[in-house]
Amino acid sequence: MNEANGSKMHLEFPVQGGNFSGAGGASSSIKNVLKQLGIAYDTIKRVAIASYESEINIVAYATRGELLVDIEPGEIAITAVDIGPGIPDIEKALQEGYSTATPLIREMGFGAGLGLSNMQKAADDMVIESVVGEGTTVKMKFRLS
Amino acid sequence: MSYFHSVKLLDSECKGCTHCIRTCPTEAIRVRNGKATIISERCIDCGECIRTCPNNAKIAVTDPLDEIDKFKYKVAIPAPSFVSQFSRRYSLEKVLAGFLFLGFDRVLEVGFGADLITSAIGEYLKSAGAQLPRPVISSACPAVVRLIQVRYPGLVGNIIPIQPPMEITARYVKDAVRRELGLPLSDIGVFFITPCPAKATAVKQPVGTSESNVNGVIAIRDMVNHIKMNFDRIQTGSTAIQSASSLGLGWGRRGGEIDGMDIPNRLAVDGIHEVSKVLEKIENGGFQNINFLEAQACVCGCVGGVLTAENPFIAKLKLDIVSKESGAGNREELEKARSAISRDWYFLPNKIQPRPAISLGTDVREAMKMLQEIERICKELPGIDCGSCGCPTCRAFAEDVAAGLMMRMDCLFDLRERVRCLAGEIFSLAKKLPHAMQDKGGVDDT
Repeated sequence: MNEANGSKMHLEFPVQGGNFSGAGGASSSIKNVLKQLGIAYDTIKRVAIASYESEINIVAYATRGELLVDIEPGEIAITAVDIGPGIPDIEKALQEGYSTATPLIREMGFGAGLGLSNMQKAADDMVIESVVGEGTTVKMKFRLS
Repeated sequence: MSYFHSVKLLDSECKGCTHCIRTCPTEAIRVRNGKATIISERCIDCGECIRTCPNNAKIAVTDPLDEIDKFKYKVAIPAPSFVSQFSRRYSLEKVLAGFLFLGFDRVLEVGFGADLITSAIGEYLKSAGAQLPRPVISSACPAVVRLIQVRYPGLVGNIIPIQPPMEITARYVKDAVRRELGLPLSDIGVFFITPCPAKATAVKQPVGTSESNVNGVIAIRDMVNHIKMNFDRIQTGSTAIQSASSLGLGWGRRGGEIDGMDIPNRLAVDGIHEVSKVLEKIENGGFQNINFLEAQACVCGCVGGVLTAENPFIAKLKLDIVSKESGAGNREELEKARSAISRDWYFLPNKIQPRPAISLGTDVREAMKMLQEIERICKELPGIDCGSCGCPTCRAFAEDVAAGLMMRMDCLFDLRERVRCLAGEIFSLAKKLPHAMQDKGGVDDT
């Protein structure tokens, strides 16, 4: 459901766990919206990297989830919410190269252990909340110049 | 700014069938009032619509052969894909001599310039490579360059700022003729023999530079016809013909450009929709391990251009055979050219700019309002992208409605729904007779 009021915009994109072939659809839609809004290209690039990596994480690890996009004139927030295994050690997960990927995930060309750190690099601000056995929420903020 | 397009629509032939609207990679076509129309800012002249149109209503405008008569000295520079268009029956020596028979004074295959460009790219990547965004994308296919400008504007900085082979070939030969014959540049007409409309557009309105070195563009299939028709009368033995090396000719098919490079992790992609998918991934931060990307709009590369005559796969096979036979080409001539060409000729003088054709406006707040309207309309639409409204997708329709270009009722499903409601209302009204009247059974209640 996409909601709108005044100068704020809220968009939601569902992501199905395990659907590797469909991965990238949500981030493509987000990118398109940002291009239509005339957002600066380097910001779009950062949002694209972060939302794509989030999408891949949901596809690779979670049962299901969604990407929530909140756009205000000065800021874009991307929130990736999933129902899944959760992350036991967030600090470790943020390390470049650390991965809990299964052979299947690696076979699909993912699981290099760069996802979360790439997201952190792309966003101006990132907060991860996770409950093992329940799911993970990653909140990312991007300032607009 | 107004855009030149080689791709044009023949109104008289268009049946308004909507085949083309969905194959267009930039959603540049709408059917309005029973005819297709092309949105100029979005069209990248790739020619997909020409390929798709069942009524031949889409055409590519190129110059007729007699255009060469405007110049005192006429040079033909056939694309590398040109020689792939002839079967074994036609000796290539005679095929190239055909240009002289048809009125040209000199022939230089663009593969010659491609050979030179290959080294220029190699040197550039070696010197500037580390600072360049990955992957570096080839500038050779003008449809792909325009696709990036329109749909992937954030990637314009990935395009290598090097001239396409056609330009370097034209500039070199013009300069050589000027020096050898003492002719002013205005007397020398260089004509590119093109496999596609995008290259015709690239001559009339180049990207990254203000003016092309090419004076005219003739379609490969037109030249093939002229040469085949006159084949028996063509004489060989002239020295005014310079053919290309194996490396240069290879540029006419997918993979040819990267074949000659000596850097690791280079990739070739062909077909505009596959190219789009790859660019989409690059925007998402993918393909970072790829150093150089050759991207060609046409399947099989230039041999698959819409202005060629032969089947792309056969042409590619033929080009593979021909280029193998060409070997190293005339190295002496190539070295002569290399020393005659100053290094700055290889580079695009201007930065490639994005073409913000999909932006909803310059003011973010205004654009957001419009986008909210688009999202609202989108939710109400069936989402099956049937194309009956003349837009490629339901979302494109919502965008057009929000922009005031279409009416909500132009959606057939919406119209049907309204007609149904109206019919229901008429039906219930028809049953409501004045008390003074007796029901004669005209409207059945059951």
